[in-house]
Amino acid sequence: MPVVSEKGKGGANFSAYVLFSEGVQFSPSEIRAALLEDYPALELEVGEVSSAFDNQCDTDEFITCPLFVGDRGPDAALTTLIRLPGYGTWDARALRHLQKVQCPDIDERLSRNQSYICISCAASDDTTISAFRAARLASCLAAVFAKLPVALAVYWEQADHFLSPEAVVEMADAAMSDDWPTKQWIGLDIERTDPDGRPLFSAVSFGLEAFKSYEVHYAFAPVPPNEAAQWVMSTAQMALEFGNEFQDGNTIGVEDDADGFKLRIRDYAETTEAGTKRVKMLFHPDCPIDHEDLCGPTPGIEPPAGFDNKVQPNWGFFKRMIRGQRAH
Amino acid sequence: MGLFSKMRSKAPANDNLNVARALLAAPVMMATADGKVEESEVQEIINLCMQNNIFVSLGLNRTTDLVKEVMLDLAKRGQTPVFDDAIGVLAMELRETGICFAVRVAISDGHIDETEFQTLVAMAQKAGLTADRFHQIFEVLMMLHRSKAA
Repeated sequence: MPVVSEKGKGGANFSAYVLFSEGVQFSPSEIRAALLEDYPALELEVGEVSSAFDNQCDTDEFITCPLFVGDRGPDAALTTLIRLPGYGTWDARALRHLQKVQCPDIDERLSRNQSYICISCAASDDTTISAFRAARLASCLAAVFAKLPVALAVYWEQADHFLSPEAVVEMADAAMSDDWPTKQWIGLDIERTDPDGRPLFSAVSFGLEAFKSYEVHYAFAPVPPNEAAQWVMSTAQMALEFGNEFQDGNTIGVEDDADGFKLRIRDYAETTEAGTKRVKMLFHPDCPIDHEDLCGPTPGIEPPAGFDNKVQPNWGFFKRMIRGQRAH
Repeated sequence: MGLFSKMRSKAPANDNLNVARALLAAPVMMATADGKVEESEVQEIINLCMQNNIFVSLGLNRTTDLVKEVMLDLAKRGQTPVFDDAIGVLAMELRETGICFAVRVAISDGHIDETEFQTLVAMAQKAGLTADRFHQIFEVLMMLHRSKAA
């Protein structure tokens, strides 16, 4: 599950586990040089690595290695390479289907897994831009390792799913263009229930919380599972790329839909083992759950009939924000 | 057990860099067509590049270095092999992008003469663009550079 600090107490932490078919030996200075060679647009002002921090690392042994010590620049997130004995192994039989979607042959790859390195990047504060920068740095570092011929797959912890090495390179390239690799950074889970013999599906995001401090949950409804999943991913995309702020009681719908179909967005505080989690629930008109029973009365006043107050996307919002911060 | 540096040397080349280099062939050829390169033309190419995601992902410094590399390559090998190599790397959509860049460089001084126009037509033809497609690109970019009402 995502590790998210409380609001105002620092940013999210992003972890990528790169799995190898054999051990890899490297020094931190080699990784820094490879990172800057492959991703020169990263805003990192790196100095010489002190010999005290440039020991040879071996992914068959214990590693806890800070990567950017005393370096500067907007992308210089607190980064650590970690390899702990006995941690970072997965049982292919225990994986959910949606954990394997972006690396369909993960079962076979896991059977060859002999070693791994965990890359951990912490955002400097709790803003979406800082979280993006930290996730991007983790993605680029993961891609540096994923390009090695011995790389098998990458487990992206915040989304709780596996990615093929090619998907990781694609993820880093997209982020370097200031695009959101939503498909890789945000995971999904779909559930099914059959009350009264009719199938209902729900979908929930994994990893959005690291960027926006909430997840999106499509409440059980008589819709195909891919429709529930698409609504969750589209809502996440609107929040991240277009800067939409969803207020309790807002609706979202399909552009130019003559029938006026819309989903109701409600704020919900879900209690989990880790504490209380903020969730934006999406309610389909045919959802058997009464959203007011679950989330309380809908705030605000309904608009007059025929008045369109659906949340509209603000195209290019995030790119304008992050490019506005560039020095050049 | 393997060494990172040794394994990395066997990793596939950075496709993004090859694509970026190929995209620069047409605009740099246009800038160097008169035999000399003004600093302002180099700056114009870099400004154009920094509006494109491929170059944004490489950053300003790497893009500037690439422009200089392509200039040197043109001086060393000549226009035909450099342009042929570029076409070999780029899909049709990106060939159009390269021609857009070249048109922008040609009209950056506010006007375009017959020689420049014919050079652009020849580059577009060689890149496999139809005459209609080239004229669409050309007209739109001319509109972008209008300085007064017709």
